[in-house]
Amino acid sequence: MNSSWLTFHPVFPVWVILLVTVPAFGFFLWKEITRTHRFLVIRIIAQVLILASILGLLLQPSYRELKSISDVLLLTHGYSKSKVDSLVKVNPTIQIVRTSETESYPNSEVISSYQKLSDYKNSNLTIVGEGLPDYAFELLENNHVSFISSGIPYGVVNLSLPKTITVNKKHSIHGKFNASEKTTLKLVSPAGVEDSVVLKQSGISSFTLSFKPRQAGLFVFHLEYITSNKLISEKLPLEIREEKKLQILSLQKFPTAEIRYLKNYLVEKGHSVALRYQTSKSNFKFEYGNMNSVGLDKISSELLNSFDLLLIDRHVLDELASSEKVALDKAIQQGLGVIVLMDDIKKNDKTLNRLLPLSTNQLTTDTVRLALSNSQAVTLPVLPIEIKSADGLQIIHQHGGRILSGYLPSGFGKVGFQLLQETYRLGLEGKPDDYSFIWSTLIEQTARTKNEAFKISLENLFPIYPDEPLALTIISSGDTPSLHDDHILLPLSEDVMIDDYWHGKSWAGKLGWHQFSIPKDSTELNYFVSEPKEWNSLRIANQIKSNQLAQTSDSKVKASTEYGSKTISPLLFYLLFSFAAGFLWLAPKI
Amino acid sequence: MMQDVRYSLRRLKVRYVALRLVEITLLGLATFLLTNGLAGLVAPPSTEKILLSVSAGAFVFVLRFLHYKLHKLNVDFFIRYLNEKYPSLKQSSDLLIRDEEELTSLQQLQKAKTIQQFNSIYPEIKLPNHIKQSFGILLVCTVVYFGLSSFAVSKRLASQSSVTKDNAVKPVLAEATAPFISSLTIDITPPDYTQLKSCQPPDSNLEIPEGSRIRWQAQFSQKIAHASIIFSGSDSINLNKEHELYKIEKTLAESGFYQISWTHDGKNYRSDYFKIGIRKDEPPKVTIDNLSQFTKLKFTDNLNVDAKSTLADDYGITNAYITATVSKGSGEGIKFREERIPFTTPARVAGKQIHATTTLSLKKLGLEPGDELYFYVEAFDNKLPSANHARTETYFIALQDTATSVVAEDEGLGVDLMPEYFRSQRQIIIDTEKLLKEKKKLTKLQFNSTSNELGYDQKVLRLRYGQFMGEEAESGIAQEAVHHEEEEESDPLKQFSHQHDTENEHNLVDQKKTEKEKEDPSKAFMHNHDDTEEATFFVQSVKAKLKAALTIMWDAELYLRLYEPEKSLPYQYKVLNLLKEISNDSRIYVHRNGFDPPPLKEEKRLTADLSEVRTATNRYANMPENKNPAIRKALLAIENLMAKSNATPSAADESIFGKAGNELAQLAIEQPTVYLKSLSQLKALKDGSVASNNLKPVLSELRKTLYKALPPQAASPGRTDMTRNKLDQTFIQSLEKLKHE
Repeated sequence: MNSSWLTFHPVFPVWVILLVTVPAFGFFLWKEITRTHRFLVIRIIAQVLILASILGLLLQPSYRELKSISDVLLLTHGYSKSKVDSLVKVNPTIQIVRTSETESYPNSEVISSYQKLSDYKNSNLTIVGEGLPDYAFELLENNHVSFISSGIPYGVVNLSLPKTITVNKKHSIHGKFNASEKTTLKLVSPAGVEDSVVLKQSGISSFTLSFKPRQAGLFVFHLEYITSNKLISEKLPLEIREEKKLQILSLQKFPTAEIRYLKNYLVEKGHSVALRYQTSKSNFKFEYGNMNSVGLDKISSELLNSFDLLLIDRHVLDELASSEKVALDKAIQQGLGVIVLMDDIKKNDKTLNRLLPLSTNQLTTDTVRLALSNSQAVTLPVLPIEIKSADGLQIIHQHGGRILSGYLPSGFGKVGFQLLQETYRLGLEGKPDDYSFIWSTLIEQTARTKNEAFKISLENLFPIYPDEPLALTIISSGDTPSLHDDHILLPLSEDVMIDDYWHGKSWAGKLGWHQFSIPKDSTELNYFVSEPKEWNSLRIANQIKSNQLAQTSDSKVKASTEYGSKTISPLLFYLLFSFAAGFLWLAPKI
Repeated sequence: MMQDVRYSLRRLKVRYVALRLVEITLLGLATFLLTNGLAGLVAPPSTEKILLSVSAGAFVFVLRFLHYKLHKLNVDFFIRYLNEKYPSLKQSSDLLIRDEEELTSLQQLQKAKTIQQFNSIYPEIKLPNHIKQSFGILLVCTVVYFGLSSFAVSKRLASQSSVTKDNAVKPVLAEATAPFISSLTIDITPPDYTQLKSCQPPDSNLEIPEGSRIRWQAQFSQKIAHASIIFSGSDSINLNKEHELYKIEKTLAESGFYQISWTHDGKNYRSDYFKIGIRKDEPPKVTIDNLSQFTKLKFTDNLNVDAKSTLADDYGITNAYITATVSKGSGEGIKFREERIPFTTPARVAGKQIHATTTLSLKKLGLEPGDELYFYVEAFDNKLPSANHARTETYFIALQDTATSVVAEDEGLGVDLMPEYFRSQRQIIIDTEKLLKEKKKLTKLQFNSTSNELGYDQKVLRLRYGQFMGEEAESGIAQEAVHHEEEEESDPLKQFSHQHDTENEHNLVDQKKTEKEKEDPSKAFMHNHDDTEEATFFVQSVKAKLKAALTIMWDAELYLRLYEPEKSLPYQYKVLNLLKEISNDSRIYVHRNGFDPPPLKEEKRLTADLSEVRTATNRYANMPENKNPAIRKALLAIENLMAKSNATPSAADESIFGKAGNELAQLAIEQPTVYLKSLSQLKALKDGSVASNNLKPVLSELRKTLYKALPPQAASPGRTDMTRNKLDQTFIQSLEKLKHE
C-alpha cells in the first residue's frame, strides 16, 4: 500500500478491513438516512468521519516528509586531537559528541551511555579514536558511518587460539605483537614457562608459542611480556579437553609387529580395540582390548556401525565376501572410517581401487627420513609408490611432496591409507611422541565423527568483559535447542533463511569461567570473562578492525536533506472518532 | 766519640723496646689462649668467643705496655739502669749524654773514662726483660688450652643443643595454647660395619647411612595423652613414655619422610613433615688398569700377564678375586673351564681403596696356542647382612695360533664349505717359499710360469672368500680357470673397484670414493638390505677383516703375476694372519644362561600338523595410563578456586585434597625435597587451616607442584564431534550422486 506521499501499515490485511468496514459503513449510512431527524447532512458527514477514523486506526498511514541530515563527530577514547581539529576546520557546524570515558574536547557533548547514540540516527557520523564496540554499532542502523582510527596500541594485537585443545597433544598459539622495544613473550602454564619467544625489533611482529597440556579441564595460563623495565602478565583461559575414546576394529590376514604395537598403543590409551587375524586356513585369533567380545566371523553392517574405525590390510580386503564388501561400502557411506594398511603393491587391485581411487606411480626409494616432533630425524621404510594428489584427497603426512598418509572422503565416512612401514620401531626406540604423531592424526581424522545434536558457537572475539552482550549461534541436527547460560534459560530465535540455525543473546556475568549448555544433549561451551583491564591492546585492535569493517561502504557523505516517512498519530483518529460518534449520540437529543 | 755513645744508647733503646714487645706479646698470646680455653668450657666455638679472647690478650698487652712505659722512654731510664747495674761506670753514666761545654774539666775527664768504660761493657749490656718467664707462661697456657679444649663444647653438640631449643616442633595447626614438642633429640647410630660414629642431625630432617638406627626423644610443653610417629607409607608407631620423655627407636632402610603426631584433650596435632634421606651403601668400584679388553699374545711372548686392579668402596672391601674361564678346542668341541684366582698382593683384600695385583700364568692355566682366557675381577664390600658386589667387564686374552691355519676349516661357520681343489693360503706360502728357494735351479720361463700359477691360485682363493662377502657374480670358478686371461682383459671385476694393478690406482680409488659420498649423503641412514656389500653372514668386524684380507690378496696376487714372489710373500703372511683371526673371531663366547629348552619330539618335527592350533580369543582391559587421579582432581579444584575472586575450599574440595595428599606422598617418598612442602600444604588445606589471606599463594604454589607431578604422556587420537545438519546431509548426498555420474 505505497503511494508516493502516503504509506500505510495495516494492522490486518487490507481486504479484511475493507470487507468489514465498507458494508458496515453502508449499513450505518442507510440507517442515518432512514432516521427522521434533523441535521441529516451533518450526520452523514459524522458517519464519514467515523469511517475515516476507523480506517486510520487500522491502516496506520504515514506521510512522506523532507528531513535535514546533520553531521555528527563522535569522539572515542584515544582520539587524535589534531585529526579532530582539521575535521572541525573543514566543517565548523559539525556537532561534536564524545563517550563518557573520552578526554574532553571544546564544545563537545557527553553521551552518558551508548543507548543515547539512537538520538543521532539519520546522521553522517564520523567516529574518531578507538571506535565503538560491536554492540553499540547495532544502535546506528540508519547512519552513514565513517571511521578514523587511532594508532594500533602496544601489546598483543592479534591472538589466535587453537579451536579445540586436547590433553597430551602439542598445540600452538599464534598472534601478533606490537612492541615498543625488545620484548620477551612467555607462555606460562601452571607448571611454569612452557615456551617463550624474544621479539628483537620494535613494531608489529608475529609470534608462535607451543605447549602440551598434561591435564584436561578449565585452566588459566598466563601470557607474560617482559621488557627492559616492566613485566605484564595476562590471563589466558584455555579449555583443555579429554580425548574421546574410539571403537576400533582391526582385521588382519596375519599377525604383524606393526599392528600388534598399534593395538597395544591404542589399548593403552583407553580405546576399545577388537582384533582378528588368521593363524591358519580355518583358524583365527581374536583379541579384545577394553571391550567385551563380539562376533567377528562375519563382517556385517551392524558390526561395522558399532565401530568408529576399521584397520584392514589389503589381503583381508581382497578376500572379503561380496556381501561383506557391500556392508563395508554401506558403513563407509554412513560414516565409518577405514584405514587400509598396505605392505606391498598389487597392480589392478579392484577392491582397493574402488575404495581408494588414487592414481599411483612406482618409485625406487623405499625409505624416508622424517623430522618429527622435537626429536632427531628418523628413517622409516615406506611403500615405494607415489600417490598423485586427487580431488578430495586430504593429506595427513607428506615429505618433500611425497604423500605418506592421507584419506579420501566417501559419503559421511573416510578411507585412509598409511604408506609408512615398521613405525613400531619408533616406539621401541623410546620415541612414543613420534609414534603417536604418525598415527594419532591419521586415526583421528579418518575415524567416524560423532554426530552431536547441537553445536554452540560464540561469535564474540576473545577477550570477553563483564556485562558485554554475547552473540550465540547454534547449529542443530533437527531438534529445537534449549540453551542455558549457567543454568539460566535463554530465548533463541531460528534463522529466517537457514533451517536449524539458531541465534541467541546473553550477557557476560562475573569474572571467571561460565558455561552455555543444552541439557538435552549435554552439549557445552565454556567461556571466560576477563578482567576489564586485561588484554586491552587486543580489545582495542579488534575494535579498530571491526569498526573499519563496519564503515558504510560508499565513501560519499549523505546529502544534506532526505525524505523520511512520518506516521500520523493514532490519537488524532481516536479523537476524530470520539467527536463524530459523540455528535451522532447527541443529535437526536438536540 | 760523643756521637758514638749517643748512637749506642739509641740502639740500646731500640733493643729494649723490641725485647719488651716480644715479652708482652707472648703474655698477650698466653692470655688469649687461656681465655679461649676457659670460654670453650662454657660456650661453643663462635666469633664472639674469639673476640673475647683477642680482647683479653690485647688488654694484657696494653697493660704491660703502659706498665713499662714503652711509649715514653727516655735516655734517663738507661742512665739510671746503667748506673745501677754496672758499677764500673762509677755512677757517671749521666755524663755520657751531657755536652762537653757544660762540663767541668774534671767531669770531662770522668766522661772520657766513662765512655771508654761504656764502650768496653757495651756488648755485654743486658737489658731488663722477662722473655723467658713470658715464654714459660705461654707454654703453660698452651698446655692448659689443649687440656681445656678436650672438655670444650663441640660445635655439633652446641648446634644440637641449640636445635633442641630453637627447633621446638610446633604443630601445623597452630593454636597458641596447643601443646608442642619443646625439645626433640634425635640420635643416629649407623650400622657397625660402616665404622661411622653415632651422631645427631642438625635438624629434624635426616640424612643417614642405609640401615642406621634412629632414636627419637621428644619432650612436650604440656602433658599429652598420646604420641606417635608416622612414617611415609602410612606406617605409624607409638612413642613410649618414660617419665616426661617420649622415646622410640627404629632402623630405617628406605627414604621417605616422617611426622610426629600427638593427642591432647581429644585433639590431634601433627608436626610438619621431615625428610628421611637414605645414603645407600654403594657397590664397590672395580677396574683393571693395565690391560686392554682384548689382548693377543703369541706363544713366544711372555705368558705371565700381570693384572692390576683398583678396588674402591665407600665403607670397605672384604673380598676380591679374579674369575677366569679358559676356552679350549675348536668347532663344536669347545670346552670351558672356570677358575677363581686370588690376588697375590695384598695378601688379604681389605680396606676402602686397594690396588691389587696378581699374575696370570697362562701356562699354569693350561692355555695352549689357539686357546682363549676370559676373566673378570669381582669384589665384595662389607655390607651386612648381604654384601654388595661388583665386577669388571670380561677381559679377553687370546693365545694366537698360526700353525694350524687351515683355511678350509672355518670353525665358526659350522659347515665345511671348502672344495678339495683349493690351495690354502698356507700352501701358497709354502709353495712360494719353495719357488724362491729353487729360483737358481729353474729357468726364467719356469720360474715365471710357476709364479703365475701361484698367482692364479691366489686369485681362486680370493674369489672363494669373495663369495663369503656376497660377491656372487664371481661364483663361476671353474669357468674362471679356463678363461681367466680373457676375463682379465675385459675386467669383469671392475665393479668391485679393487683396482690395485692399475698405474693410477690410488687416485682412482680415492676419486671414486669421494664421488660416491657426494652422490648419496643419505646412505648412512638407509637400509641397504639389497646391497651385496651389506648382505652377508658376518658381523661387522669380521666383515671388515675379510675385506682387508681380500684387498691384501690382490697385492699378493699382483706380485706373483709380476714374477716377484719375494715381494708377494709379506702380503701372503698378512693374509694368513687375518684369515686365522677371522676363524677365531667366529667363535663367540656367551656366558651360560640358566635355561634348558625341553627336548623336541622327533616325530612331531615338521609334520605340519595344526590340529592342536585352535581359534583363540584374548580379552584384556588396560585402563588408560591416567595416573594420579586424585592429583588431577585436586588440580582442577585448585584451578576452580583460583579462578574465583574469594573462594574458600568446600568440604568436597578438602576431601579431594586429602586424597591427592595420599598420592603425592608416594611421589614424596622418591623425591622428598620436591614434594614435602606441597604435602604439608595439601594437609593444611585438607584440615582447613590455611588463613584466607594466605590461600591464594598456597594454591598457586600447590598448583605448580601438582601440575609438574603429572607425568608427560604421548598424544592419543580422539573422536571428533560434528553436527550433521539437514543441509550437510543433502550436500553430501548430492556430492555422492555427482561422483557416481
